[in-house]
Amino acid sequence: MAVVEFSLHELERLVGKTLTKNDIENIIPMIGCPLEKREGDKIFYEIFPNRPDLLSVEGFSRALRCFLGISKKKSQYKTKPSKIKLTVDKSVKAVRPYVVCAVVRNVKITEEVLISLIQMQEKIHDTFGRKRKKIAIGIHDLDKVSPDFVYKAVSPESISFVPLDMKKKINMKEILKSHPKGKDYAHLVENHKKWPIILDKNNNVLSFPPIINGELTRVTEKTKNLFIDITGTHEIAINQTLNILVTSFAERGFFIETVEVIDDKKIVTPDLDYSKIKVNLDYTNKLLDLDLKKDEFSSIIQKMDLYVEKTTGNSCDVLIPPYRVDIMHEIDIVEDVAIAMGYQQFQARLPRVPTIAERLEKNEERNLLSDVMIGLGFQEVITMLLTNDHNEFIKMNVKESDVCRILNSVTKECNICRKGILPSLLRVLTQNKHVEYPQNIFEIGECVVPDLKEETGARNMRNLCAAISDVQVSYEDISSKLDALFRNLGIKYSLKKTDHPSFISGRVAEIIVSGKSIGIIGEIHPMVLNNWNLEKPVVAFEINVERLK
Amino acid sequence: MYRLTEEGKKYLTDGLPEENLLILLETHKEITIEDARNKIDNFHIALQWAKTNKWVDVKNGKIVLLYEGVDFHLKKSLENVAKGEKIDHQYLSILIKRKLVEGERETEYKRAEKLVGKEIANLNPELIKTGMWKKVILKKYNVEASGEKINPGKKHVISYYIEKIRNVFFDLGFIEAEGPFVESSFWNFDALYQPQDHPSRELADTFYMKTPSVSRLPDKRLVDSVKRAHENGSNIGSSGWRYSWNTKIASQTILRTHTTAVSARMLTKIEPPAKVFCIGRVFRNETLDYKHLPEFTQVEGIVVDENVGFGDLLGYLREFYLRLGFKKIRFRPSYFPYTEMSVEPEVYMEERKEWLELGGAGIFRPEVTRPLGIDCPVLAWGLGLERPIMLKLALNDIRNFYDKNDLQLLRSISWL
Repeated sequence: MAVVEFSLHELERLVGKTLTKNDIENIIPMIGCPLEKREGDKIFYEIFPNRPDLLSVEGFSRALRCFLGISKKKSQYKTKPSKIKLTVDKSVKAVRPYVVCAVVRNVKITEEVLISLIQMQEKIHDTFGRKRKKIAIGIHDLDKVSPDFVYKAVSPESISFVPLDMKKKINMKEILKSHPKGKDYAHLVENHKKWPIILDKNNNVLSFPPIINGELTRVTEKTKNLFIDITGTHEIAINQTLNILVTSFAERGFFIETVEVIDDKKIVTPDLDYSKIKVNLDYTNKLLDLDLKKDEFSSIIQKMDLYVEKTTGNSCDVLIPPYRVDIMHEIDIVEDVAIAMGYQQFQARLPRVPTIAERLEKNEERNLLSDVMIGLGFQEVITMLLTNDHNEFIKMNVKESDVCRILNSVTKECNICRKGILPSLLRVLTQNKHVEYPQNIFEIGECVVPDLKEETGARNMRNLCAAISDVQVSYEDISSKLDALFRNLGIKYSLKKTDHPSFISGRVAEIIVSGKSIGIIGEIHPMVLNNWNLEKPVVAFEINVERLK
Repeated sequence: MYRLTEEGKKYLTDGLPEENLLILLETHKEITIEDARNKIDNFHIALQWAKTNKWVDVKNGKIVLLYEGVDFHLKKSLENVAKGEKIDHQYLSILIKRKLVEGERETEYKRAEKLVGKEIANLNPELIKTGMWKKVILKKYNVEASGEKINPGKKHVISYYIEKIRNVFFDLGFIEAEGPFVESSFWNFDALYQPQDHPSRELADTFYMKTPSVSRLPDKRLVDSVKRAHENGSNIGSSGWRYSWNTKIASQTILRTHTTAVSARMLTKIEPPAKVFCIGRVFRNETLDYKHLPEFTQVEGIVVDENVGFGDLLGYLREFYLRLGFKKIRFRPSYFPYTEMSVEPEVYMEERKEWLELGGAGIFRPEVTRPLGIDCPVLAWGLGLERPIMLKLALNDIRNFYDKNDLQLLRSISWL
């Protein structure tokens, strides 16, 4: 989730309108950006990940000018060639294959511009750029270096330069070790032999993407001309990012110039042509329950900065600005129609799809079991599926067995899926030693067991477990409850003595239904009680409810 | 101890009817029924018992004596009972059966008599049976004092709400579905058009399984059409995400992060029109604190029908939330990778006097539905269960639900 901070004053200047409280709190959020908070001149909006073009105050205000009806024409961004070239060396293909560039002339880097620039760069990196893995942006003072440029991969120790915010020249390997950004993003390059770098014709370092720029090309209030490099793993995404960046600058009246990127083939970036998508008016009207004519449709989508170029029959060719990355299918235009009109304008229809309800048998059975257990005086508890070896095996005094195990849990307490509920109930009793006794608790819940027959290699298993703890409690206290449960469900069962390391020998039995063991009943072994730090005796049973039939 | 009943007392004085019949016969040897009926009280009883004892027989309308010198044991037994002496068990049971003798109530009387005139707390069976309750004073209680605290067996609050929501779906004609917790990335993400580099698929958000680590994917045609939707939008007029889709990533086994995985599976199994819902546990790689749990419960519904659109989505949402007890609902734009339109429903919480975001909703993108074999719109919405319950019950620690199970809280919580 990206939350951007704008100066209201700055936003109003760029929109060209004073924004009322209603605009800020009720109108603007309906474009699809909830207002997070407001602190004096600062307003904070949440920007959804499909609209990175709204991450800068310039892009945001461009969208608002359309949405609020201030601008009704599509933005025209002119470019001219800078005659600057960047050559891509084959060595980068293994580590970070794509790069695009642009030059921005005549810039005036005020504090506002700098703030917006930094915010846009950070937010794009984190969201659309997938934490710099997919996209990394470098913005440089063009006049500090000498074109043309080269993008290549080099041995980490072969090049040293002064990285941003440092005073000393160090090599790329040292940057990963000692620079904060180097540490943060080391994983993106460290497994490669050669790392990416952008150099000018005198071998001055512009940047070490996606890690850090050189101090040499730092953008300051004195900067007049910018050079932008965008590197990454997804060719389309880096072009879109470049478009978002340069058009934001253009909104401030700066001039955009193209760069020749010489790779396998020569491309010229940025490419600010509008793209096109066909939208069927019938499709739109049917989904939205509307009866829009072409001209209505055309004027509605203008509010979303989209423009009908021409129409054929009921099909409209819609022009999409080069900075919009969210339009993949005509359905995306349909949504923009709904947003432009305002969701509150749509009539909520009474449900009209006639189908018949169907209950899952196993959940009905669950309710039956639960009713009897509650009738027998048990409090239902609901515990977690996730547990750990200590609770599942060690404390229960049982040997470790096959279990579904998690690779990457952030908490050690949650790294396996339970195969039974009894440990969870003992944990509940441990947590409630201060609460009045007797404590009669039960849970009907899911466990997960490895099962190679299943496509995922595991399956859910539903168990019922009940436990009683009191100063004095014995086998008969729980066997009478089990008997009452089965009698009320009309299930014939028998108990067969057995041994189980979690229970006291001679006080534990298998529960047999239809000749199969479906569970266990007994008095918890004092060693297990000690392990759980429990001081009062516990009796319990656990059954697999799927095998009751 | 035993005593005579009213009938028993009468027989003690007058003799038992069958004995009287025998005495009559001993003098007359035989007698017409007509005659006997006139001379013997309770002739019907007399004849029945005399016949049962094989003392007499009836021939040609006359009663004939079969046996002389009968000992009248029952009469003697009645006398013994009257004197308070012991009698033979055999005769006693006959007398009791014939309601001539009954169990002694004397001790009950005595016990009840002791209470006469006194103020007593507990009404007891002796007082009620003997009628002595009329002669005692029943103490007046402090009926305004509240009752003693006891702990009944009780549902967990989450179960209560799950049941309530299930019933809302049933009322609206939905079928109930379920799916596995351990799920393939394919069903959890890829089938829902979430690109393989999507942030929610990262290790920091999703639990990946160490064992079992690899899932079998469904049939190749389905997998290929999902792959094409991601790579180039397939043949459905979409650009797709435009990257190279990797089968290995789709085969990674995870703990499901949303019940939408169940909806995706269901889409391959149903024919429109269909309405399906699922309520189940989902998992996110979170640390435990008062706001976060690695497990929570999600509720999800889908409506699949040729003719539905945005207005129907809003209609189902409104109906659903109204039936959950929220009186006001409004809709805002939102974003999910697998829906378009995407809607964020907000409900007005009377308890807190504020609007609350409650779940997400939308119409599944064609890139989701078409590869799964569905050609019509699919309305979908889902919400997390715990947050609204916490707000409703003014609980501020989500761990109360699954991690802590504080019995004191569970016993005292009320949700009506």
